[in-house]
Amino acid sequence: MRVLITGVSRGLGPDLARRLERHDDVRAVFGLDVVPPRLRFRRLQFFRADLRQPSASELIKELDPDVVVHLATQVAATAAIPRQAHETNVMGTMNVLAGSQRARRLVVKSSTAVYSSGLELPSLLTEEDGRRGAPAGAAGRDLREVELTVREFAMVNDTVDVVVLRLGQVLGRRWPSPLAEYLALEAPPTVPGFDPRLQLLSEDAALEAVERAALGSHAGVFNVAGQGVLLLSQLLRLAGRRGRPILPPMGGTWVRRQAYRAATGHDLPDHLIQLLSDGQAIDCRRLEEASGWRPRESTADVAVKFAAPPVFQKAG
Amino acid sequence: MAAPAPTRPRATVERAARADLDGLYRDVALEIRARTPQDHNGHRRVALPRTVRRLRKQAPLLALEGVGRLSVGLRRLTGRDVIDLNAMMAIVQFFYQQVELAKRDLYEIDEFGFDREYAESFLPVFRWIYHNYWRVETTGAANVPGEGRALLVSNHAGVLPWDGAMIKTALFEEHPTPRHARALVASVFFGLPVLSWFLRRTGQTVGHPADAQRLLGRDELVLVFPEGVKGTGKGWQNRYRLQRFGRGGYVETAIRARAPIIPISVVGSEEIYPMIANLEPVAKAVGFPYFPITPFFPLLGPLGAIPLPSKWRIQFHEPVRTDLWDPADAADQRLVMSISDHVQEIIQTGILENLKLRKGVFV
Repeated sequence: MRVLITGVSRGLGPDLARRLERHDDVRAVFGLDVVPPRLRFRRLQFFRADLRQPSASELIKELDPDVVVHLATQVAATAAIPRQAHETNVMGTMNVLAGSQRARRLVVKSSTAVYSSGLELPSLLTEEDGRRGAPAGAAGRDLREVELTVREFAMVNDTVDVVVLRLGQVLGRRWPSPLAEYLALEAPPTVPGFDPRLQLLSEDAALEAVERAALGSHAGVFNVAGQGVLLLSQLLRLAGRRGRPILPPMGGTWVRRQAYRAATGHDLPDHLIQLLSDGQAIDCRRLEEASGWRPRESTADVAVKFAAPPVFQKAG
Repeated sequence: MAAPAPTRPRATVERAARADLDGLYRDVALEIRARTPQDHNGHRRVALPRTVRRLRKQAPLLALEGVGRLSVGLRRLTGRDVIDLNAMMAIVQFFYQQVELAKRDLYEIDEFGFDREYAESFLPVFRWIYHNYWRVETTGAANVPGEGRALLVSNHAGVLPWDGAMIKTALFEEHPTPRHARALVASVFFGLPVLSWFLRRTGQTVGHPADAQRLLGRDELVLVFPEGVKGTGKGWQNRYRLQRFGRGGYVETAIRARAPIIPISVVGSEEIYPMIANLEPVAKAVGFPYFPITPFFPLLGPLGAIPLPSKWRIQFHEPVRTDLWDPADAADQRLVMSISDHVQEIIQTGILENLKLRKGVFV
């Protein structure tokens, strides 16, 4: 089996490549990104490629992988210019799809940012709710578009098994995430009168979900997150932080985001700003039914582990 | 971390090393923080003088003792109970419990945000209101099953959903096996400060068919008010006149889940805030479904928000069976509407009967 990973140098990419290298039936691991990975690999063959260029699809076609894992979709980008993230997300995905028609499996990383936090939705979001309402931010809108193109691709190419993973809020110490940055603040701003429900996913579980999607046989759109929910106040307490209720309870996401910026000097993506008031919880039964696997760590486990990290971690 | 590739330019290597160091510093800082004595809120502990600490601990007891003496004195003077000591105890107990609950570290909530302990901490207060303020008389509580799913359907009135609170209290007070009923609330309330978390923590959830289905699937009691805000926001002239029961969606849910429907008639809730007018522009501005004008609100400010002490009656009717049909029949709109009409009739008849049984609005 030949596996190709896009966005191999950041986030899940390097760890996923390492995991895939360990499988004997994976004969080759190809990695695409605009910058080379910082780690050294045993078998990974890295190719510098800009997914926004049509040449990327030619490269994928030439490498002729059996499994394409598309991790280059950006969700958490705040510093990046939204326009550029849009190019990478939407045009990048189109080019990856164009190159993947002869693959056997395609895994696309999406996020729960695709869900609208509209009040008309149920308390636990199922995969079907992903098309209702409007998502909070640019990332969510991008991902909707990405998922739409992927769905069209899956309909036309029925020889390719397509998996879309909607990953919940990943919280851990290995990769930077907006939520971890938020919790690193001395007094994280909160919205007075709101104590939203959150659902967390550990870094390991996120990795395992993608790995299983790449090597498994299930297809479709799946929510991925730890069991159970936690209130923001509980998470803050666990992290040893005291929330500062300074974000305006009235007014939209834009107003709150400006207030957040002014108060902290940092930025937070729209969907996280919205999470601070409306929260989000998802139903992950479909993944368990289709693949027989669910994240081992519950939401509470992830939070506890994040709050009390082992001081000396062994490398690797 | 593996060593960076030797071919990498120096600047990259430096940046990588700095990033690693930053990570290490952060871990050390966290460790130091973890070892500094802190209270549960993460504040550094400040030691108060011992006398102050002792006084602070004893103050509530002293206050209670004072109130007790005052109560005895007043009874001797007037010949009857002026201060209800039980109510005082309930209030004290409530505040103590709130302090205790606030100290919990990682308490359990379900996926809807329901915090059982927190919800039950309000029971003493609601119990007092139930027995002493509105003097609720409940009949037919045994019609609610002691276990398994059921859909409780009630009329809705009185601006604020006190009727929901009283139905839930009735299930604890009058039922042989006390159970939590999970009420479905209009989604607009979850966008409002305080209510957004308070409703969830006390067991309520959004009025969405998927939520009802999920709760019934877990064999819970689900309480719905099919009139919705049309019921609570109706004017004084329409009191005890049921509004339209939505589109009968609650019947669909009950048939799908094979849950019996238990109609409930509540009398007394209409008089707690006699709504004379509805200031719609103000309602729109604050995001509330209606803005009531009562004889006391907003004239008396927050005092006007105190509900009037009307006399209440709650009747739980016999279950309406839904297991006679196949879950697939839930799509049959005619069947759904006919069951909904039947339920509405039971509730309306129950309201009229209980109004007759009530001697007066306040007695």
